[in-house]
Amino acid sequence: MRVLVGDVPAEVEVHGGEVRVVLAGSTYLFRCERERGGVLLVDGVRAWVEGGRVGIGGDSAPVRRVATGAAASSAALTPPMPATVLRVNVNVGDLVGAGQPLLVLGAMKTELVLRAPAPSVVRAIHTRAGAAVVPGERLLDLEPVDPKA
Amino acid sequence: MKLLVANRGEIAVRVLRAAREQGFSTVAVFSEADRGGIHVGLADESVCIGGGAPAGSYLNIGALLGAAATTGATAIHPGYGFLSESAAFSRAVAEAGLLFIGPSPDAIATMADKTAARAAMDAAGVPVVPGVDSDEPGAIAALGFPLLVKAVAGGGGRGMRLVRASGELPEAVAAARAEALAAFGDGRLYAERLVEQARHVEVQVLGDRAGAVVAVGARECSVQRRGQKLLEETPVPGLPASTLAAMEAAAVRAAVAVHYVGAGTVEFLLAPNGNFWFLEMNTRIQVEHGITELVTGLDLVVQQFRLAMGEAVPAVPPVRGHAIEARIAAEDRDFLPCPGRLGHVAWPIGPGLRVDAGVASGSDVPAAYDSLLAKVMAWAPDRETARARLGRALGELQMDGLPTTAGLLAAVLQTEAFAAGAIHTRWLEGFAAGRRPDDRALAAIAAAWAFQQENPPSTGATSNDLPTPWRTLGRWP
Repeated sequence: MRVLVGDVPAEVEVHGGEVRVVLAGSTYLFRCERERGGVLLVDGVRAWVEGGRVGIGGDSAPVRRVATGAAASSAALTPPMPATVLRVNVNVGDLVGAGQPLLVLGAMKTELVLRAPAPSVVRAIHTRAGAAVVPGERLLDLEPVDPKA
Repeated sequence: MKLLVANRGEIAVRVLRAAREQGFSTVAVFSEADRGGIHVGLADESVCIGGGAPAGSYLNIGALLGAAATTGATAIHPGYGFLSESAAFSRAVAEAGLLFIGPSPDAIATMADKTAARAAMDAAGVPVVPGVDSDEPGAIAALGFPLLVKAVAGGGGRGMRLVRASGELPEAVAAARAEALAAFGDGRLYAERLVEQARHVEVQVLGDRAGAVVAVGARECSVQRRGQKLLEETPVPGLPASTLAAMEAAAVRAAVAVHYVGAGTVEFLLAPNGNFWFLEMNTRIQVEHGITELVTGLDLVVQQFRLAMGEAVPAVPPVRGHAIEARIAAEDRDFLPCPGRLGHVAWPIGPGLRVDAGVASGSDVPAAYDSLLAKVMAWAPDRETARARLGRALGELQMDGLPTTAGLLAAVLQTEAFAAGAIHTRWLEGFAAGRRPDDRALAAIAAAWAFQQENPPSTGATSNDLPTPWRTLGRWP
């Protein structure tokens, strides 16, 4: 299966306790098993998986699986953390430049600005100020534009 | 005395424990998001004071005073954050005929208004960072770059923006004003020159009603992200005794100038050349008060009770050994907060450790509040042993279900810069940015996730669905 670790894609095959991962052109082999009590071990190191998050040996990272066959032409913007939408700075049809602030999210007393990854047109807005949002949820759809066009 | 603790999380737990040890009756308050909070189970009584949003509960003076009236509480401890530095709250508590465990409304008001504080400190002979009391980009730019735009009502790093060039100024002012307005209900700003390579050093003070103020050592708090601390230690490594004495004297002058009663902290910026400047005074107990307790033996929360009741400041014990604290916050690699629910939690134990926690296995971590979950503190006779001990403790810490700062802080403890005590306040963000997981670690994460999909836990339940005594029984007798 194809797995995204943050933004990094990996191809993973699970054969019983042997897990083969191809990432950035290299192949890695891990021994995964469950201890008594259900504790997950990866090469003997304690790990946990809760929803889309994984922690190994006290360190942790978000993981999500790529939706297969969804080679979409437009990019959907999704929050990196469960949050509340504080402000929506754009309207449908707006032309936005790379790095332009689109939305401001807040969680745990911290504000996070979501910015346009590339010059784009805002095609749809699926949220509003005050909404509670979670990772994976589409906040707005962007269609990349050629800045030279 | 019957004490109501107007807070949540680890500081509510800390204050309730101190109150129980003093033989006080205790009242916890909680929001609807905190029904399962462990502080609730530690009090004799508890009162729901409103919804999850802080404005309706922990910031709601009327609801808090109502809870005090209902339960017959005679004193209120505000903890830190929320209303702890609200002069209006201090005044309202006193006007309700209750004892406020903290300083007077006037002292809070002077220090909470950062421009008033700068003026008062200047008049008291305490050095202040060059700055300008304005949010006009033109006036601010006259200071020279780089500079910091800060909220007049600010604190804890919120409403603060670093500006390196004049082109960034308008957006930084707008962002700081919006954040200050949202966080403090006050969008006024001021600006200060940025002291490059500065360390954040703070002095703990205690003041009594007779006007006596003592300094109880200094803490180094330079490991920060977003202007908020993650690792603190005491004594301050590499600080000459003469500089410490000068900082302590300045801190005492600062507290005397506002007739300070209770426990407070005077924060300074310390430049590489040994010059220091007043940054702000926190008119409350600090998150990191525990490390001072570990090296002095004083209980600063109990001191707050005693000073509020009119007792004199204590004799300052000699500092013994070294203590370091790691703040365990629910945050990912980019310091983004991660609310959710904890799975299995196991605290490190063993010689020289102290854990102050506001969560347990299965605890909900609401998005409405700060990401701080717990503080792991290590004490040892010397700094090297304390550093090794805290690293060992963070390795033993288990917190499933949410990413935390534990792994990053364990790595910080191992760095040459930390070992040498040579960290400034902007160091951590650079270190964290350079510490991306290597490909093998990313592959291991992918492997763990894929294995879990194919081999779900046999119980059909994840570990965080297991009942815990905290969730089923609360506190048992």
